Amino acid sequence: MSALERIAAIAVQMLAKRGSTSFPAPDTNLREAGLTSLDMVNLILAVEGEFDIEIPQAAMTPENFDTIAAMVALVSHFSSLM
Amino acid sequence: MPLDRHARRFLEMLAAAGQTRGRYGDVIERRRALADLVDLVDPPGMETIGGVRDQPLDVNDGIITLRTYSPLGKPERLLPGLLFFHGGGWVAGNLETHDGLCRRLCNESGCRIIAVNYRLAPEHAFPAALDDAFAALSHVAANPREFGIDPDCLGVAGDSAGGGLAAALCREARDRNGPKIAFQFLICPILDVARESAARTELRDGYFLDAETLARDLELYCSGADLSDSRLSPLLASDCTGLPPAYIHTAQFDPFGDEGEAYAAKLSDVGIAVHGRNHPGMIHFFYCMQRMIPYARQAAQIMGAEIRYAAQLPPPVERRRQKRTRPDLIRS
Repeated sequence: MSALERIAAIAVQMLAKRGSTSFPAPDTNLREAGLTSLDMVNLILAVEGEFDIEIPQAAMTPENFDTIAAMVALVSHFSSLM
Repeated sequence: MPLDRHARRFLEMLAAAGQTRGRYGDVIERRRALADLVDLVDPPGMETIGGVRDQPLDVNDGIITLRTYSPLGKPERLLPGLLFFHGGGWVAGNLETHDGLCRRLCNESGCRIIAVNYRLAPEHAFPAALDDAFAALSHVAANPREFGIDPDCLGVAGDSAGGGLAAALCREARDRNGPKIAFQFLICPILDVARESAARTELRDGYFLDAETLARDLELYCSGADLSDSRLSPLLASDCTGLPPAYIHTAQFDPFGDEGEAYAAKLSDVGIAVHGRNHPGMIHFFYCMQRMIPYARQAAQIMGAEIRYAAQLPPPVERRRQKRTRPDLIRS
């Protein structure tokens, strides 16, 4: 599975918890799609777990987590799995 | 000491996640946010304990629930009891949001913890929460065997807004000839809602509980009441004599840290035994974030040991060989 698919799978799971069955596009803003800020924290933790990385302080910005595409770009910096 | 690295990371994640700051509109949203947070950082029901039992209590025009937690071991005999009032800014929080903390304190202290789901604002504004607290105290003290507790040892505890409630309850019990309270155990309590301390100013934003959220909480709970009323701001009370011994826990990066320390000094000045402890590097509510901040577990052990000490229970068997340290005594 590609990084895009793996992150999308996590996002879909989180959205489903909020009652949304939509499949977000890579550039869909996830908060606007229905995730709360705590869902976003959960998502950050899940992405870290999925790729076995610890996202450094400097990269902890809202822009890096707004969309699936942004997270794929971020993960590609820190993961050797890409 | 700088922020604990886990606490810092949590705050960074909240910021990156676009945490909603400022005045919330709907109280339902405020309640859900706290419940969601707890599901993430300290889900209820995780720690095995001796037993849990819910009992309804009729209060003035309503019903509240008293949840009794019994420790692992021998829960059949009478044990010291601790009435617990959860935090959540008087508008949020419930028995579930603080279930993890109550379970940890129960096992670590060897006491029965009786958590009270007092009614919340804005549906029930000041002084409803305190009235419910007093009703719960009176009921438990009048029926100790029903709760399996030693009638001579009933303490009160709470965190955040619930810590302020517990402190105010001690005053109510004193002034209304209520039940005797053996000790008060306050965790990051809110004790002065009328003034802004240096810590409140310095830590007003970005340290988990922001000033605007607190202001909105207060608006909903106080609903025009005098904020310097000692039932809302025990720190401003004129007479603190005759209150029970106090155990006051503060956190270094907690906006309410100053008022906790000021209250400790105030009680101590009138001869009340005060045990104060500041948790370095910690933020408000850290004690309920054990999945995010591992120190929460250690803090529960420290708190449990202090409750044992306050309730005059021996340390647990497996720890008796370790050196037993007396809680920090500010002044006595």
